[in-house]
Amino acid sequence: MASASRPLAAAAANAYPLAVASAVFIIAVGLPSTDSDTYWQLATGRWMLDHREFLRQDIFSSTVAGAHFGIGEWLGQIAFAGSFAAAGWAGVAVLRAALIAIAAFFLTRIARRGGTLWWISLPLVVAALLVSKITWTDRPQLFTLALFPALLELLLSLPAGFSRRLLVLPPLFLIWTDLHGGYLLGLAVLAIFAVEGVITNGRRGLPLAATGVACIALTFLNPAPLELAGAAREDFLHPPRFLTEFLPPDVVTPAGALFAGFVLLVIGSSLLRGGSLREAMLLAPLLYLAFTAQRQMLFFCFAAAAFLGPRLTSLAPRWRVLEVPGPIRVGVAGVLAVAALASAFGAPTRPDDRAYPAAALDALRAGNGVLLNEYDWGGYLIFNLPERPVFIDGRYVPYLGGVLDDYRALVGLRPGWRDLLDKYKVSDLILRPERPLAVALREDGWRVRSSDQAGRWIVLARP
Amino acid sequence: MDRPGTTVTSRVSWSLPLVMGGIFGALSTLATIGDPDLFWHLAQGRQTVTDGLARVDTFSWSVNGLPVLTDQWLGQVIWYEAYAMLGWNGIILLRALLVAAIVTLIVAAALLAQRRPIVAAIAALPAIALTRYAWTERPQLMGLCCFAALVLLLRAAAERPRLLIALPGLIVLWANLHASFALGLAISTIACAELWLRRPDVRRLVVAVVALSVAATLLTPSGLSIWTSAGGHFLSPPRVVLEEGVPDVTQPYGFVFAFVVLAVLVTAQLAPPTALRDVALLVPVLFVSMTAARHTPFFAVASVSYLAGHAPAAIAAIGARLRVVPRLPTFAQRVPSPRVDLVIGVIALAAVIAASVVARGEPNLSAYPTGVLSSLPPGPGVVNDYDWGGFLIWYAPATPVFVDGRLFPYTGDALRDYETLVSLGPTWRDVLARRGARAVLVKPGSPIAVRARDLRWSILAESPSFVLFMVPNAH
Repeated sequence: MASASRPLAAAAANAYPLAVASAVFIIAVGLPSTDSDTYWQLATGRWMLDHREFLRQDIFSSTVAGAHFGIGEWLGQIAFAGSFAAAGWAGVAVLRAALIAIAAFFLTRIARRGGTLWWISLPLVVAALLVSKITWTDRPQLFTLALFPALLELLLSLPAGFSRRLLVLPPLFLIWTDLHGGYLLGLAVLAIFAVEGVITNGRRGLPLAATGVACIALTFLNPAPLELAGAAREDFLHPPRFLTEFLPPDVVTPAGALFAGFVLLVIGSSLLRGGSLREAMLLAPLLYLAFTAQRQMLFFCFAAAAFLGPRLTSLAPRWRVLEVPGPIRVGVAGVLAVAALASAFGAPTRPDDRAYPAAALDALRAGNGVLLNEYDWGGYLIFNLPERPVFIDGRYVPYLGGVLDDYRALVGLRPGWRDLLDKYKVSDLILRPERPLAVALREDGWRVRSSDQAGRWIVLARP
Repeated sequence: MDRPGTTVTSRVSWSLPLVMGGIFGALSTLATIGDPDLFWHLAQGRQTVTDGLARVDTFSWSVNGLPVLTDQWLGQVIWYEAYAMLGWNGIILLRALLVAAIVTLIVAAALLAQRRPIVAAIAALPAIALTRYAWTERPQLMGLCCFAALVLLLRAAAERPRLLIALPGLIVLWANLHASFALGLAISTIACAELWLRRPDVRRLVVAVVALSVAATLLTPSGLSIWTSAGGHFLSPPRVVLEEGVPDVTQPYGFVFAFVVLAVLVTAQLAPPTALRDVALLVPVLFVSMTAARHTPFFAVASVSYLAGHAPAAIAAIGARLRVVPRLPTFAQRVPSPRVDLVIGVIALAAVIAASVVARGEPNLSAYPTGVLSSLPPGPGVVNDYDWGGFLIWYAPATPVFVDGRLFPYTGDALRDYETLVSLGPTWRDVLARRGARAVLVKPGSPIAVRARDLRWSILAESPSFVLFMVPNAH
């Protein structure tokens, strides 16, 4: 009898997380791909799958062709390219939805810690997921979105001393290291828990500390262990502010307002109820990280959910009667899980390319020579027009220090722009019509080979 | 261990706040003046003094005759009077006095919660450092001074509610100085609500104070429209202006702001729980501070008292976990007689005045096109760089500007046309013709300057930092 009730109890305990994850999967799988970086990530993964080797140098651009190119996300890129090869854009959507659902599952478990009531944890989870929406792009960073709450849930549930669950950590980091640079954040969180464990529990904290050391050592098994660390350091110290996701949090935007809500709730409730050393050690650095760039906000919100739930529940203990019975929870979760599986068949088979110059591809295909393209469209052109190397694209790191500055000087019509046009031997360009360069070249007699009726792009060629 | 709630002194010694205020006030005189907005504030102040309050624009040719904000009229008049009396050293003196007052109020707020002067001074330093980025010669510095006074007042009123009687007076002054009064009124209302809940015996007083404070905001020349500027800044900050941008922690000011926020976060986690009044003050101010870079000092100022009272307990808690006993200064504040405070205050004031008198008075104009003044054509028709509008209003009154730092009168067509012109938008030639522009004064690296040079427009004046083009075929 006891053995039969144990799985039922486990199912009831996981019913909320499963229900939320299923609902999130249904929503996420219906979203078409929109991000420009998806395209070059897919092209990179596709090349590695086709050639059975790492792509260590640039083959997509005319400006940095042959230059060294980082391979720190190779496994993530192959995963996306494999999904695309298997089922086209629907495969990409399913992989994306699965990763977001995993994140939602563990986030819900985190928010439910300490017996947090569902009507307190659910808004926290929804708000945190909405904050994370900025990263719901089909890129390897989705793996970090999934693995971060999983790691957090594991660390929060670890008892002091040795636990068999510690053995999960080394393989987790071994894989994460090859998926995305966010593993560095995972290592930092692991280090925080290890230090806090040693401070709080003395010798009983040593197993976690030893596991942390092993995890750090394992990350060096990456084919390029220091590449991602260097890139992550640059992103942290000098965030590329010209990219929206790297702008500081703006609290007058919806996501920024939700993030601010988390910050205010954490500080406000801590002022009234106090907290713990672990919470302080974890949330303070994550809050600083969140302040550096919008794309980092979610980590603070995910971690804050773990502590806010119990504290907010303690503020409203009289409402405990609103808890839903276990069998109903399991039933609802089961129905939603089945619906999620069924929704996978409705995944979009085409990306949403309205933001890209799809109708210009034929005109561009007819040309040759060096093409100057809009930064945001580089990835799209890499994937859809491989015969025309791009001038620049969303990989941005290979272009730092030279090409990126020249690109800005060109499209912004800075002094010396004509010399740059000659230096790179630009023969045609595709830009937004309002770019000063496009305006000037039209006036100078460059031929309009194609243009968008809605005024989103224009293709110009040397006269 | 100190119990934060019991460390509040019955009377604050003003000696330490005055000493620190005098030091920082004197130090502020080392900074040269030259804020881009100073000049149009001075011009508006002069106009108010000489011709009465202008409710329509008279400085530009793009929005000439259209309504302008009058929400800072008193601040502008005070800045102008300081200039009229003592020249540029008057501006430095006024700024130094305001800085001294702000620092004095901040340290006094810290001492209200912390008996140990050294701890209070250390707790006040981050806030003082962050206010450094607001030490500009503009009415907003007066707004910050009012905010620091309000924080101190609310702190003191938590124990002695009758002090709230001073609140409507502060609000009416503030509303005539700067639009940040709206923040003051909001947190005053929240603080009064907390007091209303906690002290049934003073409910009538609290309601009367709030009602009078709300009414006081209408005692300005702007009437109800006084709320326009405050609401506009808060709900839709003009991000194109640097100081209205999102707080950036990779910049020095942003780092200090983040430090203060994290200090409050960690202290809240590790120190004993605090009173609801701290939450009522800190939470709304933190949100406002996160909206724009220029608002970051508000949270730092508001949190000083909390940090001074509670941070030692948090440090002690960390020390206990590490089995280290932190040695915090233990000597208590001695409250000297008011005479000592008075003497120290006089000395601090003398130091600030002396430093202001010997300071380099002339503004630093290296960021402005001083060399163009003799070449500027009089009358309307010059399209100028946004950053130089205030400078031109003051130094070239015969040449109305196209745009300047007042910003709000230009939102809409004028600002859109300006952006189209300087960034060489597709319709830039149409805008030039429609506006009847005769000359363009911009930075040499701007797209329109590069294009004008390409098109061989005649240059009336130029230097490495500016270029003045004559628009071809202009009337």
